[in-house]
Amino acid sequence: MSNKRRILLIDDEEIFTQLLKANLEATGRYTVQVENQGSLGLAAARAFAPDLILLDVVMPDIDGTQLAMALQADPKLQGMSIVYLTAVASSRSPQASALRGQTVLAKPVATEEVLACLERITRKLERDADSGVLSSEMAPSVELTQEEG
Amino acid sequence: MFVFDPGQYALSLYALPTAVTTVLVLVLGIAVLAQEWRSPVGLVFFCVTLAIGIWQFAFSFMYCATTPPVALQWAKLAYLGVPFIPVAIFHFTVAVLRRYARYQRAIWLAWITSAACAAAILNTDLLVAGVYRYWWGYYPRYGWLSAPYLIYFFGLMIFSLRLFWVEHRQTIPGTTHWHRTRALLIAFSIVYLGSFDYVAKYGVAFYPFGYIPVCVFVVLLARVLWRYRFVDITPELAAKQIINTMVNPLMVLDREGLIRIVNTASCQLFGKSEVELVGHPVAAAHPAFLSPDDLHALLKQDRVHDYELMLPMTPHGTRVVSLSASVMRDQRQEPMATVCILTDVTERKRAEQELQRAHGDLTQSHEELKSAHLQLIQAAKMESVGRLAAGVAHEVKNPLAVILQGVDYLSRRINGDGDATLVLRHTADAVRRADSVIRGLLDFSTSRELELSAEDLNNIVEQALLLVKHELDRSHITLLKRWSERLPRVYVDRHKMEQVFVNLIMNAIQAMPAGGTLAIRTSTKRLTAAGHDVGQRGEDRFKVGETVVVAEIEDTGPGIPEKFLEKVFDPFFTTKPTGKGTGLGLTVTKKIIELHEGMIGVENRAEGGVRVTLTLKAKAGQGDEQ
Repeated sequence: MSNKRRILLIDDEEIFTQLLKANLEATGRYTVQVENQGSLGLAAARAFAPDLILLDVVMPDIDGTQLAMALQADPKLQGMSIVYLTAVASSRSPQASALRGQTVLAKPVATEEVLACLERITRKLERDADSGVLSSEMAPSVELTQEEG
Repeated sequence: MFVFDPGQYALSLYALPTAVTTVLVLVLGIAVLAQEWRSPVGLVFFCVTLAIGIWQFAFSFMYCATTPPVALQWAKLAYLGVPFIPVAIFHFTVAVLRRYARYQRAIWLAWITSAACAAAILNTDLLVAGVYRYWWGYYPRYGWLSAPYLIYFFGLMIFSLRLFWVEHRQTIPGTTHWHRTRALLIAFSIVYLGSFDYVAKYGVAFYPFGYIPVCVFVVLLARVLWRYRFVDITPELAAKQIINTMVNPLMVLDREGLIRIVNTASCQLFGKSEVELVGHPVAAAHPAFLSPDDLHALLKQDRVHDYELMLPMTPHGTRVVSLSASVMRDQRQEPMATVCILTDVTERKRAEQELQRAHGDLTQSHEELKSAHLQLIQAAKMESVGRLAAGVAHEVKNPLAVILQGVDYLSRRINGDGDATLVLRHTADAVRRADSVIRGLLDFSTSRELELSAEDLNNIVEQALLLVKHELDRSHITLLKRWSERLPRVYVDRHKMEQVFVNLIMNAIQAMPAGGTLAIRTSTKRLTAAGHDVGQRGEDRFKVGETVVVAEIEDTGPGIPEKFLEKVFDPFFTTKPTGKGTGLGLTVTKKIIELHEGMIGVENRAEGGVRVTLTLKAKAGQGDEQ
């Protein structure tokens, strides 16, 4: 089994996802699965069983924060680490309250910023695994800091 | 009495002209009396016609008398009128020529003399001694008293004629008065022809045609009356009435400054009677009214218009009086008197001041309204910019994200190509710049919402410094911190206030690209003096005596050109090089501070660089700790 971390990237921006996937996979540390249809995100997550999900917030068919709730509610995916990728930066947006306290990467985001964030979470996951804490008990699994600069 | 006995008379044709003349003369006299009603001239003229009328009336009956005694009685009765003819004409002349002041005594003397003559004639035979019988009828016969009587009679007549003559010569040709005196001169010259009637009184059978010049006289006078009237309504005639009817106070001062004439309005203005004013120095009217120096200056100037004087009047307060004066000169053009006309302009002045004040208020209100309107427009514009930004942010940020990822992708692929790497780095910078503009707009549009909590400002500044530490280090900037201990807490939105300090510190860092010193101080202050935005009114942001927390951020950069100081808070105004600033940082900062009901001031320091001062209200109940 590869020791690459499995990332599920759910975003409706096709080119963005392809470029980010290429840039992340170029590091050799990640396997990235792309899903451009938000509504298929839950199924894709179940099928792919990622270590971490990069999730867009505003998508035409589903709201990213709602999808996150569905993901969290799924028994197979409970405790899943989710990093929001969003072009929404207004505190007046409907998703603002749901995003408060979550790990958020604001678009446009450079690959190195995404990598830094992924590394931090990955290290945490590894630390938790080493200490024997079940991933399902990692509550809350998402970081409480905001990555936006 | 035998004079009433019709048997003593016989109808005579010679009596007819005199009878007609009587009627004409009396009709004229009554007409003049009616037209010149209440005028002394009209009354005197009526006396002239009455005297002539009596003469002609009595002579008509005398001509019809058939016996000498009856004729003598009528001859004497005629002298109830005849001696009064010269005095009435003299009086009339003086009245028309307005020489009363000079001839008043002469007039009275003449009337008395005439009355004495009349009495002598009626009661004695000294003047009318008897009657002659001529072919036209009986006629008076004069006695020895006729000599002085005729001297008196003709002397007075000639004197009157001379007065007319002199007046006529001195009058400017073509004027009404000139026409009038000429016509009167002719009329009286003609009526004097009636004097030939005296010839028959000395026994010469010279027909007394006196009624003819009298009739001509009547016609001429009627014409004068019709065309020119006897007297103009001149200032001299009505002077007293005019000046007393005037609403404006009038005062005539002589060269020595003594009051000579005042009118009723003047007396009312100064609250003094005519007796208290006339003959007294002008200061008697009011101590503040025309000093001797003022009067001297006035005499030099010839005329003054609307010279305003303040006259304190107890208990009516100060009256504002406008003075217009002109100098009256004698024939040698020497100043004779000063005519002052005053206008009480107190109410007008008050109204003008009120109007001016109202105008000032209105202008100020208009300016404020205009400024508020502009602010509203600006706010509305920025609001829509903000809303638009929020709306398009998502649509713009996604393509930017694609570009940035594309740049990263290409950077990996073209490893080693220096130019391409540089282009890609510039592209990435451009993306970040575009992103920062959008972020600024979003900050601007969202800065109305505050999550307030009691915070320590020192702590907030420390947090902001952490966020910019990297930039500080990179620019080799020395940081000087001076925190006030026991700083009262402030009620602020922590994140927004952090944003404020990050913006201000970043501005300071960018102002010192080659390094410098950034000094940040916090302090507590109790406001003591009223200044901008500090006052006692409800709408003032801060009140005197209020405790405030002050933060000062100073840099050692080049400062801001004075002409830009007022613009630094304007949206999209920036002095930074293109790409370095969005022009929204200070706009957002100010907006956040204003939302916290605080103040922000930007100034150049005397020693160079900029000082930004933030003033925030201390949380209630905490100010007294300091």
